[in-house]
Amino acid sequence: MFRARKRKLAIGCMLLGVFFLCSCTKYQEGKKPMQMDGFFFDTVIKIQVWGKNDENLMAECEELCKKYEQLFDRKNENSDVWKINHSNGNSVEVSEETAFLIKEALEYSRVSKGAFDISVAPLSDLWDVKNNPGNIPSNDEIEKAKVHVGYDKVKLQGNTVTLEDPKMAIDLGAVAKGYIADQLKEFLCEKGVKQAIIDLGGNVLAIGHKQSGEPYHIGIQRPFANRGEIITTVTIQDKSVVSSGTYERYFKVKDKIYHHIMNPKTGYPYENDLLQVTIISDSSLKGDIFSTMCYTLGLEEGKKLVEQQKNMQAIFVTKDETIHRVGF
Amino acid sequence: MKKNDWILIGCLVLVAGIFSLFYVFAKTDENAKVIITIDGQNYGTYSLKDETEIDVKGKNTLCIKDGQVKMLEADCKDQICVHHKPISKSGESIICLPNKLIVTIESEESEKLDAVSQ
Repeated sequence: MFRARKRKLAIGCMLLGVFFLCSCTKYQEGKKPMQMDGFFFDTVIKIQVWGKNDENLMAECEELCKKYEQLFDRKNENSDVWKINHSNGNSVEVSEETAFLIKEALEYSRVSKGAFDISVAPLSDLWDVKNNPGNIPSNDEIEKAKVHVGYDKVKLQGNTVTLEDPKMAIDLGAVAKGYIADQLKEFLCEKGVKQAIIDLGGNVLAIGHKQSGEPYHIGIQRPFANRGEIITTVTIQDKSVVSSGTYERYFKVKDKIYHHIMNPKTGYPYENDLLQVTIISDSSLKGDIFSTMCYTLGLEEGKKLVEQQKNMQAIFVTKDETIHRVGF
Repeated sequence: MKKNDWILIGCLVLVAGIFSLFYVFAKTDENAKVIITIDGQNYGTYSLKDETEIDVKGKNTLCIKDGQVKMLEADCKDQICVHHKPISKSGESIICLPNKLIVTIESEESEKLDAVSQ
């Protein structure tokens, strides 16, 4: 009699154990995000959404990316930026989004007194750092290109853009990813998403925190090391993390590095003590702009600029691989 | 305590032990998968335990060895993927942009970075 009861008890306990284990597995599965990978804006993008089960969301994110690529890609003949750059000095009516982005970029061009400039395209094209096997342009060529750079010659009125110099060109590459990340976040939040990571080629924007309640753990690329090797990490919640640096695109001639961040005043890549600037901010557009802008300003001035901002932190990495954290 | 109590306790401990062992092993990298996609389309899934070399359409060659994935060769000119550090943790990936190839590791392991700012 007693034995039978004990046996029942034992079996009961085992069943209970199995039940608990099963529920554990279920919980684990619940942690898996919906994911979208794609190739846009000359880079890889990855969007992960937790706690939702609606594949339409991911398809709509993809549509948004396509839409913005159409608007901002200056190599695409149908884009707003292409139209502006091929307007021969005539006024061009653009979409509200493009106008907004240009307005923001011009604003910060003024703040940085032209250190950051969206009209640096003639110089970038001349250097073509991405495809350049090691040809440094001649002084003559640089002087000729420099004449056509200057954000103050980009006029914006409502949604109408005019380039006062027909040989100028603008490039929204330094601001577009940040803006698009913000738009994707807004879209997902409207749909009730509480947890997501939007990664546009290393521009990281987080919605909420992890399902466990912990903040997200974001690595910062170590400059000039193998991709994916990190120099430090930050923990964030509802924030954007954007890095800019000389290591992203460059070529080398006689041990000297020529990178993609152009100084409109000299016509050569910026030369300072920085390898990388990472900005942690609410808006990814701000992160995108400030990371480049702080790089152009250098360590001291860059630090001051970050300290003046609300809700902004920065990590500066100097050539001796020292990490300077600001605002933490 | 009676002999049967001991048997009962023994049984429970044994059962708990077996299940927890199962649980622990299920969670380690032994179960990690290596997933290769090309332009978003699944190309193949492999186990991280494998020891193998994978030729992807003659464009990329990668190898899985000692729980690590490394890009050995790529026909692209930037060679960024070849210079990527070997990956071994869940969520890490190697990307070959020109060939639109992504290699990712997926497992249940929780200690990992959620993203890398580049």
